Amino acid sequence: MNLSVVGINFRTTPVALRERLSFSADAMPAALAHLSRQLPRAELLLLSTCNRTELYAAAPDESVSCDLLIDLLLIGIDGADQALRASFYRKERLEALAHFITVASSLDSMIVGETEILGQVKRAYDAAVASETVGRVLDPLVQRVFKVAKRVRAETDISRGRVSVGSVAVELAEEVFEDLSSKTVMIVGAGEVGEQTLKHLVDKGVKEALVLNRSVERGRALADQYGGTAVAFDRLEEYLARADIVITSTGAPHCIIHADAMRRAVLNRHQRPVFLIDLAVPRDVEPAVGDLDNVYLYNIDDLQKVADDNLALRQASVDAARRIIEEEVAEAAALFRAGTLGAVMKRIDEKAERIAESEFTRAFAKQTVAPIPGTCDRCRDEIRHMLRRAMGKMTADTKKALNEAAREGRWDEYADVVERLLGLTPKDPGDE
Amino acid sequence: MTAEVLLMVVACGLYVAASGLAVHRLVRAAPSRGRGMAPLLSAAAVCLVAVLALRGLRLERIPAFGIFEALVWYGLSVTLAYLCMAVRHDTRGVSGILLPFVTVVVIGSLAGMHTQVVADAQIQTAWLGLHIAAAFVGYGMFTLESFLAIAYLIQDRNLKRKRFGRVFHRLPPLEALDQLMHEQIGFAFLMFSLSIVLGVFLTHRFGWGTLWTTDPKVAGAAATWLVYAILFHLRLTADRHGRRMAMVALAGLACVLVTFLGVHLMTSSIHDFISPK
Repeated sequence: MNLSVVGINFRTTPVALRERLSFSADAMPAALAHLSRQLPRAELLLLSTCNRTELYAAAPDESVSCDLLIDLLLIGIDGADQALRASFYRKERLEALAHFITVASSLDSMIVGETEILGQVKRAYDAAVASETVGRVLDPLVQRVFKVAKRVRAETDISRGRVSVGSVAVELAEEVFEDLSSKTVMIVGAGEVGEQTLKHLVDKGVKEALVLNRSVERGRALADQYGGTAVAFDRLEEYLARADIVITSTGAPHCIIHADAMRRAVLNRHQRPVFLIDLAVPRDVEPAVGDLDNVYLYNIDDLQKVADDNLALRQASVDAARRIIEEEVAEAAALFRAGTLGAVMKRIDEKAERIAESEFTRAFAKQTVAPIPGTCDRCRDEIRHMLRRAMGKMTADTKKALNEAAREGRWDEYADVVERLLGLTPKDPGDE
Repeated sequence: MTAEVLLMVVACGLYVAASGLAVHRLVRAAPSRGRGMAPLLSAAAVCLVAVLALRGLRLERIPAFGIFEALVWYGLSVTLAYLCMAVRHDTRGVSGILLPFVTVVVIGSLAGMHTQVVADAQIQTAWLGLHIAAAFVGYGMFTLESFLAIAYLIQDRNLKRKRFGRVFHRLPPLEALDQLMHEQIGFAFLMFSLSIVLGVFLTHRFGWGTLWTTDPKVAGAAATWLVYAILFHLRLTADRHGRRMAMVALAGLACVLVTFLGVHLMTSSIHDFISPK
């Protein structure tokens, strides 16, 4: 059994080439059906995201080469030129397995530790299950990959902390407030980053969104978009006490939230904490506001720094994550080998039985045995069993050596030699 | 080695292990590590209960006299208060701050283990038992409240300084800590107040007169009650939250420690009802 992967990703291929080899969710069943028709004996999984397209194949022999997989992937692709072909990476056996786990664990992602990739791998697997292109080899392997990816996330800091300004703001809001669903968020101004941050918070299910903008129409449009309430800009101070999270992103050339106003707001809030996110340049919130008790003020640089620190923390966790992956690859490889080992053992037994049966049939066909007086049915059966036992004893040492090689991690070299020495040929598709 | 000593040694070992796990969970380990701390802590609490029970049976009195028994009660009450809270809420890394303190208290109690004290047989009543139990429930919950306040101040400082290390991520969110403190104060204050009322009742019942007004432990308890009364009023009546409430809770911890350790170690108190054997 051979596991192979071919693919392109954001490191090897620019987006202009990547986009030619991208498969949407709708196109996935047809692509898998096409590949499966070409490779009926192989199990297939096609992963296509904005950052990568990879084809995983588990085949019973070496006939499904990486080049063949690339050729099949590129059939019908517009502009499938040499540049695109050359940007493919090819990995086989343990290397392919390690790559699969690395991808699912988000170590190979553009933003290390991002969590989206595991969902994408799950969707790819679901599509393969629906198209019936995964089976007894890829099925347990993918389950194993999911398990390792979850372990990596749980036991390292690889996914800790957000790495974009908007998501960092949400993360910090969650560190201040336990439950955002009971909180009121107020956005002052309608800058692009501010709107993104508001979207993140609304996605988290905040109780109420208030939108204050100098342009009433723009404010109302934004409020409608996010299910919020538009409020007149001159009522800012009045609403300050009501908001638990305040996002400011106006184009005002001066501060619009001053320390005195904020102090009054905090008193009216009975000293409950308030989280201020100032995304404007020049700043909308007077810096002295950050010195007030129970007020947590963050400007765009603060958030960017948190994002950078989080990214550095993730990078620092890569070694620990790789150690876990190495452990798991070794374990998964043993299981993979066990599955493959069983298949080879079966082929040895089948070949031995075929030889015994053919010799038995030949002997009786030539009538070298049949004319002997007293050759009854019982004797025929005994002769057949004797031949089988002899063949079994002949192959026993070979199988024992294979088992020992598998235990010692030298399975691959032994399997090749045994297959060649015994002349084991892959089964025909019809045998399955 | 008597059963009491053996149980105390086991309890100390369990506290050290639980503290180690809790601190590891707070500062070093990955988020999923550190489980198993609650069973260790529960086992340690069972050991302390057994120690007190054996001691009570052996000495034929309520086991709450002298520094050893007082510290064991105190460690036990803080542990139980924490375990009750941890069952209902996600307390995350708070144990990493609290348990080392409790461990020091319990290990420190060993120093007074063999100081034999004779308690006045006249006062061994159910009322005294209730007075002591209510006081320790109050002390335990006040201490927990104060350690939640420490966690709150750590989170506040991290957010203000914009430093987000592991401790920041392992402690509960600011508002969750505030809410936990809010929940503790009502029952804790009720129990401590009950203890004081029972104390006054016992004073009259046994005709101890005004000698008690000058007792340092009573003065310490009164100061503790006052601080937590202020906190109780600010939190539950005036609905105040935030950093200043945490500071008041911290002042309360200072009062608890002075009432407990300061009075026992630095002065003599008639509150112990004891005389060295």
